[in-house]
Amino acid sequence: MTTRTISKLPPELTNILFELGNRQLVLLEGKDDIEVFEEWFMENLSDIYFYPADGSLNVKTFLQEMLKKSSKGKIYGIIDRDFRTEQEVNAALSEQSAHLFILRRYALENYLLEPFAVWEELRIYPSKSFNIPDSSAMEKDLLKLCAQLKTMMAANWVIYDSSTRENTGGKYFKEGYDIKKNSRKDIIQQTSKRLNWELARVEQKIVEKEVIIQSKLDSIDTAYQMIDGKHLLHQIMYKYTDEPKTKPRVEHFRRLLTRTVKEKIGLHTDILWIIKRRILLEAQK
Amino acid sequence: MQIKILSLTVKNGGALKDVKIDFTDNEQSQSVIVLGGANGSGKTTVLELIFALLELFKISDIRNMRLMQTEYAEIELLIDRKTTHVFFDNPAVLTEAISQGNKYGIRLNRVNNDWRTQTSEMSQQMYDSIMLNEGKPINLSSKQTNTIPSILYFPHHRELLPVTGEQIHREEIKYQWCYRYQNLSSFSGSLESHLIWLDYAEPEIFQSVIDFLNQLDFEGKTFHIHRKTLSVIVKTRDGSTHAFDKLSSGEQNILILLLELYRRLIPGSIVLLDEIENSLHPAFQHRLAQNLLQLQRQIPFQLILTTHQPAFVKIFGENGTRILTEF
Repeated sequence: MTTRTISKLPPELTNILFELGNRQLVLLEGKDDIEVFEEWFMENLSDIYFYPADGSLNVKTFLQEMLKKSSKGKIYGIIDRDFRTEQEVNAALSEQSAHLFILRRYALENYLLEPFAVWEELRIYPSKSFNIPDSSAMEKDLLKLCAQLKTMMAANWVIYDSSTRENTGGKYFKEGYDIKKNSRKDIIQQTSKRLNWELARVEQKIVEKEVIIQSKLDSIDTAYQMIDGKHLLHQIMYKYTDEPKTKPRVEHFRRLLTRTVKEKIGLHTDILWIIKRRILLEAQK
Repeated sequence: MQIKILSLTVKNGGALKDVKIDFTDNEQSQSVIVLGGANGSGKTTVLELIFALLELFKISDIRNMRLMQTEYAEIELLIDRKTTHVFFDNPAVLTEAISQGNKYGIRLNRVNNDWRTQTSEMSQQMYDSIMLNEGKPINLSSKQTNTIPSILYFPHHRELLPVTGEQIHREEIKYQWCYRYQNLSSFSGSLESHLIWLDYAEPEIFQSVIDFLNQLDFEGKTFHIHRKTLSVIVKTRDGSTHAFDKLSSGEQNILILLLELYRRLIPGSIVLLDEIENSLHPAFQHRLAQNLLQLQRQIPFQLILTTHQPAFVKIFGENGTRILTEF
């Protein structure tokens, strides 16, 4: 048995380990994600500690660094799917010794935007124009919103693909982008400018992505793999609520959805499988 | 004299199976060490072992309960810029005694089942200094000139107990190499009894202590002696009064720590403090930490504390924080 030396650690690691205790550490992309996971797994917070690593790249690098230093190895990371392929998602989920998990849907928000939860919350939210009769009508409306976001998501995908060669930071179309004011043509022109590519080349690439996205827009489950829930959340607020679309309002609506999903629908199997089967069960071994 | 802890090595001591805790930063001793970790990770054991190992300089009681439950413990110290080691070796199996070089310590020789003491030049000097001072009164006004510091240990249970007239006795503060705060009505270190005694016998010192207490700002509360009943009374901002032991548990925690330090702290000492946050609201956590740092600027001492409150990591700094839980 070798002597374990306890000495000074980097400040961030000290703060994490101070809070961690004997729990499993799960690195998430941001503070918004922490809020959702802590609400969903409130009863497991004595066994699990969620920490925001600030972006998927940081989740990956921080996870690797911590695994190198750890003797127990009970450290995991969960990141959004973004534009990753089905193969990449499956590889991370099926690998028995995996420590990094990729969500099957585009982002964590896509697990909040279950049609029933959205309908249930909008029903009682201040709104003059909300007249969707039930959750199946809500589902159809959400798919329509997904279709409206198709070109913008295709443009972001093209920008994402270019990221292996170029720094794309700041080039993406952000949530809250007004898809009513900006036509398909506007998005293509702006992408061309942002990437400094010829218009025709950009249009061709966007069309290719639009075709793939369109093929997934038949059901919520597949559409939510392609359409960013963060964008969709903003569009829902624009379309169905009368309140000003400030950040606190969006965050408040997000919190309502988080609770409703847990209490009235139940968590999606993707999420339960990662936390309960792969992380918490591993702790008992 | 100044004494600082550089490291602690433990084998099979409670939750600490085989660890070395390094208390230095870039090979320099640190003035505040914050020990963090899950419940049961050995934070209190570390304080108990430090206290027990340093007590060995007096060789007063080698049957110290904490040490007897430990197979091996060794502390590395810096005494006036000289490094020295104190060890306790209670080998589980029959082995030949191994010379520990220039270290001071006690080892159980299982061949004859007797305790062997290994002395060093430093241990002899320490023993002589301790014996020269032990039991002599500490003069509050001149304690800064004392030649040897103390080890002051505050276990997690700290509260004031009610004192009656018969329990008031002469409360001179006497030098102790290792002092442990106790929560017993028979404990001669009772703060209330001390204050009453000072009011009666040492009015000048009493006034300085009262001034110190009143500047701590306990939400406008002030402290007074009621001579008829031989008790300390606390006046609140609205003019009402209550007994000394009726202060809230958080107020008692702060009062005990700061008043005990005020009357016992000699420059160069080590203060061991278990669960600093005992009953303290975040505002009081900051107040206590700031008071300790201010005191440290006036009278240098090494502070080693345990806590579960992240606020103390922020206040005292990550550099001095050691996490005992293995991850």
